[in-house]
Amino acid sequence: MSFEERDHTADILMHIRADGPAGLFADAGHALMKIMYKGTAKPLQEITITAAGPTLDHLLHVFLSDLLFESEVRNLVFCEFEFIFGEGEVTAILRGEPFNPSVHGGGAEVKGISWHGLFIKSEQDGLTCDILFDV
Amino acid sequence: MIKGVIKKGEYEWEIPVGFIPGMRVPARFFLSDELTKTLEEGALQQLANVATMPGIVKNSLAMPDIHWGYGFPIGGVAAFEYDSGVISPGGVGFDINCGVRLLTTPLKQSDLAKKKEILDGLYDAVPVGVGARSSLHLSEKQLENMMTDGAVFAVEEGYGNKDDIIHCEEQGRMKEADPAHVSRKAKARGVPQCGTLGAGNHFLEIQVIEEIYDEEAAQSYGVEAGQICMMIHCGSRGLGHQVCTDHLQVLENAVSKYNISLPDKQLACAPITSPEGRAYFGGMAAAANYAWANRQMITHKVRSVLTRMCGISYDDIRLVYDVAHNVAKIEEHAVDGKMTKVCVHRKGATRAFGPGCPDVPADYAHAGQPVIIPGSMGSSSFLLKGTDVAMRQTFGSTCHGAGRVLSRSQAKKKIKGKNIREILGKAGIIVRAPHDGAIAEEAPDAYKSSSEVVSVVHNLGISRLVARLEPLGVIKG
Repeated sequence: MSFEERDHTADILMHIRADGPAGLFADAGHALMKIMYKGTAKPLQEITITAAGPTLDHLLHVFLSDLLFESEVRNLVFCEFEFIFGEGEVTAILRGEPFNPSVHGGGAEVKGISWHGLFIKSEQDGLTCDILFDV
Repeated sequence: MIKGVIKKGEYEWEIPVGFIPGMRVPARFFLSDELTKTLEEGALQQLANVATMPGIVKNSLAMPDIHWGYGFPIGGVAAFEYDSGVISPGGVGFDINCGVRLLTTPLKQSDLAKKKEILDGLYDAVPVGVGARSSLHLSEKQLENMMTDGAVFAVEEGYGNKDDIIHCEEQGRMKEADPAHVSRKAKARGVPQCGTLGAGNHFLEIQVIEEIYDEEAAQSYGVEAGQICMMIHCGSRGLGHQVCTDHLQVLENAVSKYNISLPDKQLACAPITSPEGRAYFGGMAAAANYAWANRQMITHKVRSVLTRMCGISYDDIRLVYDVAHNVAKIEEHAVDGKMTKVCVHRKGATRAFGPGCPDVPADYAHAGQPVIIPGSMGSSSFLLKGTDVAMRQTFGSTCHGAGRVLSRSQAKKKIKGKNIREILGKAGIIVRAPHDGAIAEEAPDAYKSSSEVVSVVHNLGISRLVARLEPLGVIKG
């Protein structure tokens, strides 16, 4: 996993770095889970979601927004992510376990994924992206 | 001060047109010299960005609790001409109608011998923190009614009395609400969270009125020194968050459809009267109504606990007022000497209507609208009143809180929740929270001084001090 928290006064800004899109999306998913939950989760349940969008930036935004939705509504803490990229869409296989306050409690409530500054940049050794999570 | 910014008065600063390309109007913000020390360049950039949006009138404004957010800065206020202007979720935020309400009780501090037990009772009654679920089981129809009728729905369901409705901004219900523009996903998030406080900076506090500055207004509002009060701060929960997410995706496409040029994608917007703009407004208003109903349901739980544990009557716990601080509204304001229909966005800002405004409750008409400014955990909160100056200068708006100066990670590194709990305990303030991290993140040192922020708005006259409240017990989400 390669993500680090950077200073932002109001919210949580994460800098993500990965070799390619699948790694970037997975690290962004892990970053979101790390903000929301403490402790570790086991891959006991699996769900599949599909996000659509015209660009990789859009796909990442929609994927993270859907991940937040699924985690909150299904009360699941996800720990493994797999991706299949298609034309204008990405299918994500998410694995995790039910939220247990005594194991996973103590995180922050994420309200949404901001578009502010969300640009995936190609660099010499891979992709980077800053994501601002509203908490 | 940052280069290019002009000082216009003791507390007033201007970012002139040209500071960034495309500004249509100057931006103005209000700060004391002390508060300029914590001003972030990113917040000013965002304030200037707002000034580029189509249909903006007079100024892009920021209150003294300005800080760096996304889209609009926190503390941002902007009005857009109804027929030619735009509406943007970036000017409201994810937590639609995050707001605060103040309740008075007949209790004095001497009645709180069992303060810890009362706080425990409140903590047990009101679900808080990540993953907390409501014990209420709303049907689809009830959720629909909650979004349509807001606090009115909650009172009709038995969660309060009719006077509560009178003492809410918009009487607890935006009539423009249209649940058809609230997605299935948003509804799925809304059902299990109704009546929950949430996390982050949301709180439920036992407070005491420590000082009265304006006896006449205090009398109108029914507050007096020594009185025990309850303050509730929360919003529209996952339902509102999802409404923002959903409509941002739609409005992002509308930007190119309507040929709008923006410096920040989070300012995605559409003409107010366009199908996309109307859809967002209807959904946002439905989420705002959910938030008013949510605070009303929490109020009912608070009343039930205090009635049971303190032997006071349910109806003796009176709602002073409930204000929104993340919302867009259609209002009329004077622009170039003419009353003009505008869409006012307040993002981390509070409506502060002056005496005689039609939207101020009749029993407060002489004093003006109550303005409730929560402090950070362990610091003072304030009750103020709206003014005519605010109507003229800030579209009837003022600050909403203290405003952060430390990021959450900085706060956690610098401040230990356990230490804060001990320090506050020594000052007689009990804290209940799901974990110590929540306490550290929201510790007083992570925020500007609430006293300094309200002194600026008081001295400017955009709202005037009525009373100061001090915390005795805090429940953090």
